[in-house]
Amino acid sequence: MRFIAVILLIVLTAAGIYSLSNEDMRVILDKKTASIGDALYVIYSIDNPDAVMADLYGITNKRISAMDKGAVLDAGTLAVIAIELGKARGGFYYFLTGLSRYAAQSLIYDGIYPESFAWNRSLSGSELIELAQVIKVHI
Amino acid sequence: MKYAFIILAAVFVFGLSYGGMVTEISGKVDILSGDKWQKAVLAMEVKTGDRIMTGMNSSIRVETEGGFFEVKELSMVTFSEARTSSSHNQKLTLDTGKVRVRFSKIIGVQSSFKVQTPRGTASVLGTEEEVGYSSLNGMSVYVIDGQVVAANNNGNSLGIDRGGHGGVSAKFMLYGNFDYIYSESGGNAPFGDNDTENNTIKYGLRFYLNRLFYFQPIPEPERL
Repeated sequence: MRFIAVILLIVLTAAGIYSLSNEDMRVILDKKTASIGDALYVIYSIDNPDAVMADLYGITNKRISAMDKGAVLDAGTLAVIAIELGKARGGFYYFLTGLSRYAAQSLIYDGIYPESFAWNRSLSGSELIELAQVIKVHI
Repeated sequence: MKYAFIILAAVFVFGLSYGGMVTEISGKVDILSGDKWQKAVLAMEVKTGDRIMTGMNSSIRVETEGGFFEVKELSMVTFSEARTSSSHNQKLTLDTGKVRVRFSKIIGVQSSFKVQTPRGTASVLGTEEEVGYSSLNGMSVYVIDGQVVAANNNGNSLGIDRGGHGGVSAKFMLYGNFDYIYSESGGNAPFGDNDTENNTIKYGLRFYLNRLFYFQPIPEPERL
C-alpha cells in the first residue's frame, strides 16, 4: 500500500512538473518559429490540461508518430495534427491523399485558418497559441 | 475607534493607489509584477504596468474603478492607468487572446477605458464589450451593451452600437456588422419569420452572385 502511494506521489509530481504550465506557454509564445513538438503539446493539451510529455509518445497515430518533433511547424502540419487528434474536421481530399495542403484547406473551409493562408507557411509560437484558441472554440 | 480610523485611512489610501483587484480566478493565471511572474490569487492587487497571462481553460476577473475586466484563456494583457485629480484613464494592452470589459463613466472625473491591440484600439464608452486579438485575424469587438469606438492605427474610427460586431482586420481595415448579435440569434427583423419582403432570398441571391462574379477593385493611386 505504501509502495503504491509512493509511486502515485512520484507520478503526480512528474505530472505537475511537465504539465503545460504558463511558463511553457511563455517559452512557446517567445519562439519565432514553433516546432512540431510544440504544436503537438499545445493541441493535445486542449482536452488534457494536465497532459505530460510522456503522453505524446503514447500517441499511436501513424501520421503523427512519423513526424519529426523538432522540425519547424507549418500551417499544413498543424492542420494534420488538429485533424488527427480529433480537434478539427478533415475534408474529403485530405482523407483521400493525407496531404497537409488539403488538411490546411479543410481548416480554411471551417473558418479556423484565415482565407488565403498558405499551407507551407511556417508558424511562430504566438500564432500557434492563437490558432489553438480558435481550434478550441471550433470543437 | 482608533483601529477603525486606521482601517478607514488604509482603505482610503489603498483605494487611491490601486489599479484593480482580483475577484475571480479559474485555472492557471500568472501576473508579472515588477520582473517576477507570480501566481494570481484572490484579492491580489493589480497595479499599473502589471502583465496578466492566462493558461488553457483559465480566466481571471479584475475589478477596477468604474467596472471590471475579464481576461479569457490563452491571453496576455498589460494593465495600465493614468490618474490625475481631473482624469482617470485605464488601458489594457492586448498582445494576444480575448478580454471582456464592463465600464461605466466615473462620476466627477474625465474617465476612459481603452483596449489597445497592435492593429487598433477599442474605446469603451460606458458599456460592456468583448475584444479579441490575433495577429492572423486582427482585432474583433463584440458590443454586448452600450457603444464602442474601434479605431485602427491609421487614425480612422468606427462606432459600434449594442449588438454589433466590428474591428480592425489583419490588414488594418475597419469593418463592422451592426446587427451581428441580433442576426446570429435570429432576432433581426428583416430575416427569418419576420421576413415579409423576401429579404432573405434577395440578400442570399445577391451574396451568391457576388461570389460568382467576384472582382477585386483596383484602388485609386494616391495623390502625390
